[in-house]
Parts: sequence; structure tokens; C-alpha cells
Amino acid sequence: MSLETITKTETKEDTSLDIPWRVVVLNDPVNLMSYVVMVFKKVLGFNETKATKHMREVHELGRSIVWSGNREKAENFAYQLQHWHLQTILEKDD
Amino acid sequence: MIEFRLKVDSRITRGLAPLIVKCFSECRNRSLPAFPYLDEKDGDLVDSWESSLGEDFAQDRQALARLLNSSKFAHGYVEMEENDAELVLRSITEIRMYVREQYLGALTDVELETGDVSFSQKSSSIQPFYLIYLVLAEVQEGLIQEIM
Repeated sequence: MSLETITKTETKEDTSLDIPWRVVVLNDPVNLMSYVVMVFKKVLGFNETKATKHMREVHELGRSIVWSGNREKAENFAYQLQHWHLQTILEKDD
Repeated sequence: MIEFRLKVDSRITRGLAPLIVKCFSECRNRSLPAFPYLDEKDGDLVDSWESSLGEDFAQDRQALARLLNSSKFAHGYVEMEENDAELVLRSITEIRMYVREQYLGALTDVELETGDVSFSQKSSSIQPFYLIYLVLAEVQEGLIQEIM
């Protein structure tokens, strides 16, 4: 099953689709720094500098907002990051 | 084709290989971990999300099984099709998380992150699992260098 299938199940009226959402990656003691940088580059399309900056934020501050925007795309990124076993949450960007 | 040799002594990989397979087997049989973001009120989304990730993880594990079943791996060689590299990377992360959770609870996050582990004050039973944790990290480092 693909994420496309998941989003198709979300057919209910949902005003939260219009609210910006933040994709937040949380720190964990297991993943290698090089692994996290690689995942950010692959999933989010970051260059080396940006990926390293966000990896350091995760490592030093415990979390980093790696993307914000519409809910569907945010869910897509969160799904991919969870597939790579990064602790990822979504937050409403109030 | 991706091929490289681990820096760790092959006697260690030979000794650890059966234990890695055991951890892999335990890990694949456990239920999925809870995912931090899911709107619990939306049961359809939760089910679809978890089911889809479960299928993706299973596919990743098949690629890792191919690596672990290779006789070369026990001798310290990593060899796989390029298409398997990302799947193996993810699946190794899953096992390292499992090993950390199940067998390395006596180690702190700081000890794991810095690698500054004093075994004299820890139970000797965690040593092989810590070695697994390190060897699998070396496989990941090698793969990242190969594909990036």
C-alpha cells in the first residue's frame, strides 16, 4: 500500500488541511549523524549544509523543524521519515 | 553491485553472525512500535498508516535477510545489489533500535552516542550486543559512503 492510498482514505471534511503543519524530527541516541544527514538529503532534498544544520539541531536541541506547509505534504514527509526510523511528529503551525 | 570489507576482525563477525540473525529474527516478530504522530480519532488513517509502514518494513527486512544469509557476511564482507542498499540501511536501523531497547538498557544515551563505554562496570552479558550494535553501525557507514 502506498501513501497515496492513505491520503485517499482521508476524504472527510477537514479544515485542518488549510492550516500549515510542521514536520519535526526528534533526537534519538541510535541513529548515526551521517545517516540522519543522508535521510534529510534524500527525503527532503536538502543540500549537505542544510542537512547538517538540521542534524545538529536535532542532536543538540533535541528537535528540529525540517519542513512546514500543507498537511498532505507534511504527512507524506512524516511517513517517509518514519520509514527511515527517524522519530518524527507533526505539529500545527499556530 | 556494492562490495566492501568491514574493518572489524573477521573472527568477531563470525562469532557475532548467529547472534545478529537471532536479533533480526526477534525484531521481525515483534509488533510495530507506536508512531508518535497519528490522529487517534481517525481510525482509518491510523490503520492505513501502520499497515503501509508494516509492509514497507517487511520489504526492507527481506533485503537485510539476503545480506545475512550470504556466507560472506560472516567473514566480514558486505555484498549486495545497489537496489538493496537503502532497504538494508533502514532495516539495520530497526535492529539497532531493537538491540538498544532489549539488550543495552544498562548503557546511557551519552555512552551510546560517544562510544565511551566502560565494560568493567557493566554486566558482561551486554558485551556481545554492544559489539553487534557497533558492527551494524559500521555496515551502515560503509553503505552510506557507497551510495552518497
